[in-house]
Amino acid sequence: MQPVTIALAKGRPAKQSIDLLEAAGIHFEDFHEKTRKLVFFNKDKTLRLIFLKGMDVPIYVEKGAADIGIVGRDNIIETEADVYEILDLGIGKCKFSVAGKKGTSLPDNQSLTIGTKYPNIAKNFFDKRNQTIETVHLNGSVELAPLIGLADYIVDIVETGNTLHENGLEILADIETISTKFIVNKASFVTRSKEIQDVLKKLEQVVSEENANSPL
Amino acid sequence: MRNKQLLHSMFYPKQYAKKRHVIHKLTSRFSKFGYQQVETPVFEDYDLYNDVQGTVNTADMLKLIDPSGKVLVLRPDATIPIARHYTNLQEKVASGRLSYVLDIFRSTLEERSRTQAGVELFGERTPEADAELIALAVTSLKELAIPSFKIEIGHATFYKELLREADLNAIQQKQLDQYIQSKNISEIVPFLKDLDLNASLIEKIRKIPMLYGDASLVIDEAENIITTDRMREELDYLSQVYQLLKDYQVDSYISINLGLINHMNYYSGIIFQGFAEGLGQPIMMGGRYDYLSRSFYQEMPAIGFAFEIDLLVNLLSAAFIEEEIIELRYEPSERQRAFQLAEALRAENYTVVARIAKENKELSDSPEILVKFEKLVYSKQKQLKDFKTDQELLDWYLRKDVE
Repeated sequence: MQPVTIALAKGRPAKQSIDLLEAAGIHFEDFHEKTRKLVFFNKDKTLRLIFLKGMDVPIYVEKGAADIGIVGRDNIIETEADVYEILDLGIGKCKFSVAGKKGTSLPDNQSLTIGTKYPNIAKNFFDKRNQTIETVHLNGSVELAPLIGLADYIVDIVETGNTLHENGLEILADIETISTKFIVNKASFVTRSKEIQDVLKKLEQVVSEENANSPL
Repeated sequence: MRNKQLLHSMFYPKQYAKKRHVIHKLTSRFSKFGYQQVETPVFEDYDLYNDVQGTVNTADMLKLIDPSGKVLVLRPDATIPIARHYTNLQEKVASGRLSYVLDIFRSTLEERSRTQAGVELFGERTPEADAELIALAVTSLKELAIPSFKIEIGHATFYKELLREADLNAIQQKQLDQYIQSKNISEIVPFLKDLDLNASLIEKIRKIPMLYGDASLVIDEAENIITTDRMREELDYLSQVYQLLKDYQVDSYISINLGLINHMNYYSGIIFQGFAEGLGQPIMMGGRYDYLSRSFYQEMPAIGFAFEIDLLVNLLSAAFIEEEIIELRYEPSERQRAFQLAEALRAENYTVVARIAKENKELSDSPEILVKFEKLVYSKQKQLKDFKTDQELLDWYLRKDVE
């Protein structure tokens, strides 16, 4: 039997996801925070953990290279992956916003140039407003774009707003909230139903306990 | 934008041999169930697809214009033309069972075309017909030795009927479909609350994506969300289909998913999809489409499915054995004899390439026969065997494969 493969977005959000898996009683041998390995197995080798770039996780899951993915919803929406988004893990909460220079507002009667790592999300948001935009696809330091004059506004993930603030930008409109999701390949969901349900149930348990304990 | 592939993948003979094998297995399976194969034109009227609403996105179709200015499309789907031709037939095929292997063309597809093999069953709206198709799909996949697969069965109208009360507009409907399809439960509730639906309806809609898995359990659970007689009838129908599948002894390959939605709007009853392990896309899709024929001013209940041949080719196990080619080499003086021997082997369904012998040629692993004066040498994997007469070799050859 092939192990069930779980794809995880590496980097900052990985820690929280690993903690959640640990809390659910799912341990991966020789995993520690400083490791540079990208593949891990649990003790009886029924689960395999792989680390990928966030944007690649939904693709791996859609294509069936991974059965399960734990990844921010931003990446799922942007890749438009055809997967089951079964469970909201309640971690990695932030939002998509449109930001611009302080003191400006977002006009709705003209075509705009938007700098973003997420051109699909930007386009969908402005489509709904019946506004045409030109997107400039950037891979980092998005906040620079309005300052240098590369774009009028940016569409990006906002967690605390500090980065925006320090660069003289502010939020002009919110697009939607995002958090980390538990996603499943549509074929694996039926062909490996038992193993996947097992992981899902354990995580559901932890998530519902955490919700009950949260001050909200 | 699209990466232009230099070479069509089926240009590799080994790859194409697999495709041929898949098509052969499927068509012979279909014909054993009494489905008669037909073909439809590559070029169809643009209007045919434009008039039948909610089927193929017109932007995805590949269009061309004939000299008179008429707009044609490359066949973007097989079911619609087959249904159109069938409903217009004066003398119907007695069994109502048709099959096809056709290329379909859409701008959104990887190589702009792909091959589908499918069946359509016209004139019956019974659980027996539905179960027959699903059983045919399962046995076809078994015959192809696809390692691990499941057929997911859903129902197009069960969920639509539940939503009737909600009276959503097209945009809201699309959004909800998307949430249900991706089993995105955490976002369904806030979305429905924003629409001011009553709490009990929200509770019922919320359950839809979770109605999946083992048939008997799901059907029992689905009882709890029934609001209309129509829903009751459809659920009973589904349950009858499942009972029939038990008698076909294919129920272990079946999973129910009432959150299954097909983007083809013409489906009107049972819908189903086949999934194989390790592949996210469905390898097979189908369903009942009783009202499509109304677009052709007729009443003709129907159900059909289509396999994605190119996906099946990739799933074909490593155990697939390619046909062996016998290399028959002759010395110039023995030409006539060699041609006769080649024909005798071909008559026994062997594949033979006959050509003139080369000097100092090294032996290969594949079977070779060297035809010399009053003598034959057979070799395979560098093992040699001598024969005195052609008949002796032929007898031995035929016997060897039986043993």
